[in-house]
Amino acid sequence: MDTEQLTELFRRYGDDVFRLACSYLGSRADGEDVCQSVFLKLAEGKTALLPGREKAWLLTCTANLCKSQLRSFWRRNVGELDESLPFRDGSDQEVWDAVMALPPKYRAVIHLYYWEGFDQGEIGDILHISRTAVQTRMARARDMLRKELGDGEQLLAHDGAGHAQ
Amino acid sequence: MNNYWRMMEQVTLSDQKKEKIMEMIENKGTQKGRRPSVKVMVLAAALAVGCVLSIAAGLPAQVYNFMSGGSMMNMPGSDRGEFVVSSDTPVTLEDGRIWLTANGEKLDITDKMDDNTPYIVEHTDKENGTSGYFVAGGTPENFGWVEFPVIDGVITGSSGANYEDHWYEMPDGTKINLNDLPMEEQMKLAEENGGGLTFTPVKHPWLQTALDQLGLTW
Repeated sequence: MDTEQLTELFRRYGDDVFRLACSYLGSRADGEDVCQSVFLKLAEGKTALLPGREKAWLLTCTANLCKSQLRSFWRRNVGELDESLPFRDGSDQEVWDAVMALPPKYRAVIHLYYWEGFDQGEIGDILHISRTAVQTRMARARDMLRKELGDGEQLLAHDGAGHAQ
Repeated sequence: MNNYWRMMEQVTLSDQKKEKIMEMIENKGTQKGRRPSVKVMVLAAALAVGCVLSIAAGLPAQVYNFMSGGSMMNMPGSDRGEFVVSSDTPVTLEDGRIWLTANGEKLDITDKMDDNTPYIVEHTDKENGTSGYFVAGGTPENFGWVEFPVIDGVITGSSGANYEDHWYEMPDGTKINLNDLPMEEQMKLAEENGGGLTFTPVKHPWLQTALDQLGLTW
């Protein structure tokens, strides 16, 4: 992977990698660290990518690193100290808080569906879980969000818009 | 547009972090004495036991005609370059013997090398005087070769085959050498892994010995 290709990948997908890491880990600082690690892996020139599958690989790599972080002793035993994310209005903050109240593995599914617009099969591929597991996590996450947001659960109303490519 | 989308749209990397990562990307290709990066533009080219090409970053335009056939030209200030790949393989196995074919000559090099002992030939490009080395190693069961120009003590690119292993760690922690897998299985593994494979390249002992003998780092 040469510098020019890598720079282009970062320009196109850097924020998407960061968003997945941020929503998975619930922390801006951790999200930034994971984002940097993903692109460092590529910069080290030890990764081969299938043409046209760059984004899928980046998100898979991001999810793997997030899982490792969540398993790490350091993370499990150190309290969070994180700067908050600024949102334009209260309803955005409400959605963020509700999603962050979910277990991380549910958050990842929610993010890949609502932001990236991936289908259940694609989400399963990225997270290395079955389609059934995706369905289960999605259903449980929605139940929990319904309880958390009450009538506002339609804040997540999905109209098919997404960013998946 | 859903509200999750609207909320997430506001979650972006800070300009400061973006700059830091961009800096890391740009420096990576030129640090450590202009270490050549492994070219991985196409999975097949990168992982196959066939010819693997690499080029260093941040060099002036330079052409090098390989002893083993073909040539390379690096692009100024970039780690991109152009290769003219020879259709002939310089090192072949015939009747259990390893043969080197170059400069119109064919030489049996089987007994001149093994897994730990390299066979080294110094080569000077007659067109521009640039020097480089051709190195082969291994046994009839498993042999490889690589050729690289050296400018000011730095390896500036390479062309070769089967001179390093590509170790990949499976999700269960076991490690496999991608070179041992047929191309179809490598592609399948990459597909299952989201479209790419991260591996650790480890040079074959004969190549490492050659580099030590020549006082070169790569």
